[in-house]
Parts: sequence; structure tokens; C-alpha cells
Amino acid sequence: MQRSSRRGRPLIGRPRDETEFREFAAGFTSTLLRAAYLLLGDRDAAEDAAQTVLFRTLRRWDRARAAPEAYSRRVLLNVCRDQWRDLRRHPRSALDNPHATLEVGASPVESVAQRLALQDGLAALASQQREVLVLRFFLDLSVQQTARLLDVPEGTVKSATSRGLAALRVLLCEQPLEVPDA
Amino acid sequence: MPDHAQLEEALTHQLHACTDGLSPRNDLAERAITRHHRARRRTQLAGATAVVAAVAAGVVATGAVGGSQATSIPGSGGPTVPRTAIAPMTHTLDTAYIVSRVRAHLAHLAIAGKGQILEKTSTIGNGTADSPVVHNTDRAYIDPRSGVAYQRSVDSSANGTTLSINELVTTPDNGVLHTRITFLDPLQHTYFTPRNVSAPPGGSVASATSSTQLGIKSTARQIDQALSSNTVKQTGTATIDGQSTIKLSVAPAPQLVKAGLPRQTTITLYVNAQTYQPIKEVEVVPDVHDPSAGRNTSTSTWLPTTAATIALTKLQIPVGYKQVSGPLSGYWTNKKPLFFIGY
Repeated sequence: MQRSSRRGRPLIGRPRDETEFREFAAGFTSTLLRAAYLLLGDRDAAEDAAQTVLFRTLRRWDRARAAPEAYSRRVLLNVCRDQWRDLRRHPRSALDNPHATLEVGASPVESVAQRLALQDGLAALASQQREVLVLRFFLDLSVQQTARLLDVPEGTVKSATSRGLAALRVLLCEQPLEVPDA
Repeated sequence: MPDHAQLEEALTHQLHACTDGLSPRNDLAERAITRHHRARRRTQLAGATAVVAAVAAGVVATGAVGGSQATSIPGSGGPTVPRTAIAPMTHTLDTAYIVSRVRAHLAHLAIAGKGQILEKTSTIGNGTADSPVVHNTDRAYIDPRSGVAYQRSVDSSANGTTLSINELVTTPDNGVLHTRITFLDPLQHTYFTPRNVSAPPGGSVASATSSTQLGIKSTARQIDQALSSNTVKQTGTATIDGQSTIKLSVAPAPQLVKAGLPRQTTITLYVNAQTYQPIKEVEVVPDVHDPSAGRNTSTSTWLPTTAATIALTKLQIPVGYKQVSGPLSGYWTNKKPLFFIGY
């Protein structure tokens, strides 16, 4: 039986809860941060989002513990949607935010250009298309899992995938994505 | 043009590849736990306050029902139970987390410093005949493309009269910094350009110029030193030029205290509440040897880079000013030689 307060709030703080949470965080924070970065296109905003996701997941650990990755993915979407709206209202210039882009000093110029083109391409997509592409092709969720997470029909996921890819194809036509060697 | 399946495969590959270099801070989970404990304590405290308020309201209501005319409010529809005092859940971040983000910006400023405009204002003098009040404003900018550093310094008196203006333009060239200095005397309508001086990067270029030392990188490094001393407190929020900022109170760095900075010096740093970029720093240095001399206050502000603010770092010789070949007279004769540390 879950421990809870009179108002139904979970009483987290037991050592076992925190141990479980730490184990989850150790394995999944990197994925959360990277997904947030893809959704937001801003490193600082992604770090904020990842920290908020961890905090909110821990706050509801009694609910999240059964499937913390799925729970945190849903929280991530909500947090990123909030932050995306905020970033659109108050866009951060490179000057405001010198760490806005990833620093991959050793990357060749072409791959950096490609990466920036991909970030720009993702940013230019409709939010649902961007979410669907990140969920499906970065977090490797199936159409069914993505539909459940976004609370939309599977057909919507399929059409958003198709339209998102088509839009990316147009946006990236000048900087085509490199197809990896088989 | 790749087909649909190839594009999916390429996208999967690129989404992973382009975030490969991104790794989370090691302590994000611990910070979430700490933040959770704090939030829980706040909620518990708010709950206790609400109980006290409810009990108090019950006492008042009981008094009203008991016939006390003094507590009866006509037309109020009965006793009003006060709203509970549960504090809203705010997006409060750890001070340590904020400090780490601020230090990342400062590191960028300290290493690169380019594309930033730093304005430093200070007031010296205690208003006596020997030490008149002089306000100084320095603005510096390093062009991100050429690496050329511009600094303009203006001294004005307590009544607002401009006493002196000077400009330093420092150009890096094969490991040597060439500095061109121009002094402008607005009282005599003259200007003076001594021979150029050079110094290796990292060295100081001595010149009889400004009454303050301004360095885009060194200022960032000094603030970073203070932040690293782990004596930082969040003391509130403020709005500066329309930006929401977090106010941090910072103790002076032990290294600087050892070097002679009074321990009582107070440093207040304002950082953007969203990006954590430093916006403004205010230092108040008391004169511990002569309390009657008051306090020396200097303010550093990172200005947005626009054509207008860049222009503030450069000097245009006004029409009609006459070039002179020797040091300027009047106000300049009383100025002590100081050093420029632009880089």
C-alpha cells in the first residue's frame, strides 16, 4: 500500500524511494536531456527542462515508479511544450545565450553544418510533427506508444510522421542528411 | 533524393549523432531530490500556517456568532473565512545550480569576451576640496571578427560637467597588442594622441587614462572568483531594463581580501532569470581607514550589443577640436597614471 498524506499527496523521502529514483535518473537523465534538446533546440532550456522533469517525476514517484521512463517522457513533453511557448515569446539570441548550441569542437565542418541544419529543420516543424519525430526516431517509440503518449489516434501519428519527414526533406534539401553506412 | 525509409534511417542516425556531445550534469538527480525536500517543507509550513489561520478564523467567527457587534460587518453575508495561506509552488532553483549557470556565462566572457559590451560606472572622491566627487563611466567592446578592443572612458564632475574623455583602441597583431590612445579635453576643446604603445597579450598597457580599471575578461574572472568562494545567497528578484533578474549577494573572494579588498565589501550580482546571464554587478567598497570618506560604489553592466551601444565605446573627435602635441593641461594634470587591462 502506498504511503500518502491526508490530502492524497505522496510522502516521498523514504530511502528506498530515493534509491530507486537515483537508479532511474542515472540511467535515463541523459536521454531526457538529449530529447529535450531536440525538442527545444537550446541547451540551457534543455537542462532546465531535464531538471524540472526529474523533480516532477520524483514528486509523483508513487505513480511513476511502475514505469518511470514512460512517466518522465510524458512530463518531458508537457515541460517542453511550456518552454517552447516561452522560447517563442522570448527567443534567446546567441548573444543572450552563448551556450545555446552544442559544442562539438572535434566535429568536421560538414557535420556541424548538418547538425545545425537539422536543429533548424526541427525548429521549423509544427510542434506535433517535431514531437512525433523525436519520440519515434530518437526515443524509438512505436506508432502505438507515440499515439498513447501524445493522446492522439495512431493515424495522426502516422500522418504527422509522414508530413514531418516531408517537411524536413524540403527544409534540408540544401544540407541533405547523411545516410549511415549499412 | 533518399526515399522514405532511408530518410527515417538517416534521421534516427542524425538525431543521435547530433546529441552525442550532450551529457547531463552529474548532480541533476541530487538537485531534484534537494528541491523536492525543500518544496515539501514549504508545503508543510504552508499547511501549518493554514491551520493557524483557520483556527484564528474560527475564533473570530465564534465571536461574531456570539453577538459581538464589533466584529460584525453589515452586508458581508456572515463571517468571512480567510483564504488559506498556502504559498504557490514557485519555480525555485538551487542557488548552487544558478551559480553554476552564471559561472558558465562568466567563463565564456573570461575566455572569449568578444561581442560583449561592458559598462563600468564608479564614483570616487568624498566631495572635499582635496578629493572632489568624480563620476567615471567606461564602456568596452571587443569586436568578435577583428578582435580589436575599444574602450571609451568619460569623467564628469558632481554637477554633470564632462571633464575628460579618452579612447583606447587595442589591436592584436601577431602576438602583440598595439594600443592607440586619444585624450579629449572638452573644457579646452583640444585632443592629444601620444605615440602608440604595444604590449604582449596578457600584459598591461600603461597609460594616463582612466580612473578605473576596466577589463571585459578580468571583470568576469573576478566575479567568478567571488562566486567560487561558495558564499552566495539569493536575496530576491529585480527588474532591470525590463528583464527579470535574480539578485545574488556574493561575499568578496578570499584572494581579493588577502590582496587588500575590505572584507566588508558587498557585491550584488543580478542575473537574467531565464538565461542566468550576468546583467549587472554592484560593488560597494567601504573605506575602512577613513569611514568619513564614505563608500566607493562601482557598477558593471553587460549591455546588449547594438549599433548604438557599440558607438558608445568609440570616440568621434568633435568638429572644431584642435590637436595638440603635448599632454593636456587643466584636469589632466591632476590625473594619476593608471592601467588599462582590456583583454
